Amino acid sequence: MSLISMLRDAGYAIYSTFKGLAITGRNWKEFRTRKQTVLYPLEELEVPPSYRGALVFRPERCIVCELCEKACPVPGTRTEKTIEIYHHVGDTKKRELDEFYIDYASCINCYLCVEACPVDALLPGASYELAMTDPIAQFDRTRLLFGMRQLDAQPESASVGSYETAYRHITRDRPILRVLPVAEGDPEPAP
Amino acid sequence: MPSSAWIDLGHWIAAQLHLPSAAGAAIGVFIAAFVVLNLIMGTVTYMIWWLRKLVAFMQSRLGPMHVGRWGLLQTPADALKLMSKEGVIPSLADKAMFTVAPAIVFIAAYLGYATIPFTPRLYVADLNVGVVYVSAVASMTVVGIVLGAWASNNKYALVAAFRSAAQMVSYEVPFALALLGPVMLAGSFSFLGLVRGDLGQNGAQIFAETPLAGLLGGNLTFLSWFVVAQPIAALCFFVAGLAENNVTPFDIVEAESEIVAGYHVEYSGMKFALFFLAEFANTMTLSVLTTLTFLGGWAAPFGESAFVSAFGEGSLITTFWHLGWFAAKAGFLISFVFWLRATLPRVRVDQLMDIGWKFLIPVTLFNLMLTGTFVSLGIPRLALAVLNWVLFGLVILLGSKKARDLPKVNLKQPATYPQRATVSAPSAGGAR
Repeated sequence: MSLISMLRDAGYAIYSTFKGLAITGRNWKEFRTRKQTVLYPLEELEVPPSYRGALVFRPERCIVCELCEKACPVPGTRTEKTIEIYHHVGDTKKRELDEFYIDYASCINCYLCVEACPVDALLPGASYELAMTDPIAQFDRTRLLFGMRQLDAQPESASVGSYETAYRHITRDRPILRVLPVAEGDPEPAP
Repeated sequence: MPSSAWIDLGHWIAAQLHLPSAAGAAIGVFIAAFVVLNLIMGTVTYMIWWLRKLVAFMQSRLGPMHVGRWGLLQTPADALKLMSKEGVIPSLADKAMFTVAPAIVFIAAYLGYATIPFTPRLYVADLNVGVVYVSAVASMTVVGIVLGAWASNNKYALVAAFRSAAQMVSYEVPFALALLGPVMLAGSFSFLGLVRGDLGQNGAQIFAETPLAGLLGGNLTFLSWFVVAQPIAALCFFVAGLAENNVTPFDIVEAESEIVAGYHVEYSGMKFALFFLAEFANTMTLSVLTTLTFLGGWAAPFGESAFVSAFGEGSLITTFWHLGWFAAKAGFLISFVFWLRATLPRVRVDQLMDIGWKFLIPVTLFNLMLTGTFVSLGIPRLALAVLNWVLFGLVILLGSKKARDLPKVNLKQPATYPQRATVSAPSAGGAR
């Protein structure tokens, strides 16, 4: 190793160190606009519209066809299936819904029931807060058995989010990887 | 020359209690040791907090937020947790040595402060070999590290300790050699002499012959700091100090993200806390030493003499003025170390050894020869400073030329990746 190349390497080390310091220093100075963290229990993260959270159930739309129960692949912890439907036959010979349960102790959020539902009574939800505790028996699995009123009150994910609100805590002015459109007939780019 | 405030305080207490004057010196030293110990503890506690906050901000995170406002009580809480934990000693470990090793490491970090003056009055002992003493005491850390690893009877700890010993012993050499340049210019091995040489009482040559001397009424005191006359030595000293204290980018010994602890894997509770404390105390010592040797210690960059003559050299307000400047400089250097920690990747082991033996030692030896020649021939300090800066600038120029020759990456522009053309593109929907 010649003297000149050694000195050049040393100078390059110093030069590039200070270049790197400038990047982290700028990040520190503009911290408020570049903050990525959401202080979760204090601030809430709004989810994007396609988010697959806890299910939403609209009882007034339900026709009690039980397709969701048949589509459900998971046996429940307390019930026979993860989805349990109780109904009676009304005066007009129509099935009327009594109670609708989803057991979140066993639900895997596969959304097969949502796909199976012909009347959109089961909808994708926005809630990600499914941990339940009982004030007396602190960790009781039966608390995860959601009834239909509870499921009706869950936020619907399509009504909650837009991508702008979902990612507004992330600054937009930093370089983001973008995909260039390639016109048809272009040669395949070299890897 | 003002005397040590601690010893004066001890003598005053001894006079009040009708004790002999030798007891007064002992009382003064004891008080100073107590105050400095607590200063180190407190500073290190909040250094850890500041490290976590600074690095978090540089990485777009928040850092500790929940314990106290802005997480201010996080590190005291961590310290309490460590104190309340069980100190596990492995059954096959050498119990006595295992217990002594963290104490040795911490004492080595603590002993250096005996000769380090914070202001012209706040020092314990003004040893005439202070620089030698500090670099000797700093190398005692290796003993504690190897002892602790050996006593914990763990082969991984032992391997890490050997690596640490190799690193720290090799960087002792440039660390001491880089200190010798300022020592030659100041003509003194004591820290008070070094700072006084900085202030220009002993080595005023840089001032007397510059046309700049008249500017601002001769108040450009920062021009006489050794970082102006010895930029290469200052850089080498700082880099060698970083490597000796196992700080990023030289933290191969305890790479926090990969090998969790290195030489102190077997330690827990307060014994681990002592290792951890000593690590940060060493960073603080490095910053304090750099401040004293190269950044003029407690001296203000402008208008130092005017302030001191207005309030008197030994007065309380001047002491606080000096203390403030000292804390500002040392604090900036500590933050700079953390800044480097947030920025740089780690060097490899062979690169580490190359930097130490093939670069820093030759460069510091060259600097030693250059400075020695200039001092012995009586050439003014200004010429040395100019020569140093020209060499430094040439090296940076070479490096920036190399940087320009590398392929360009524009960080401002978003990176674009061409999409692969699909094999059977449906023509009805058009290309995406």
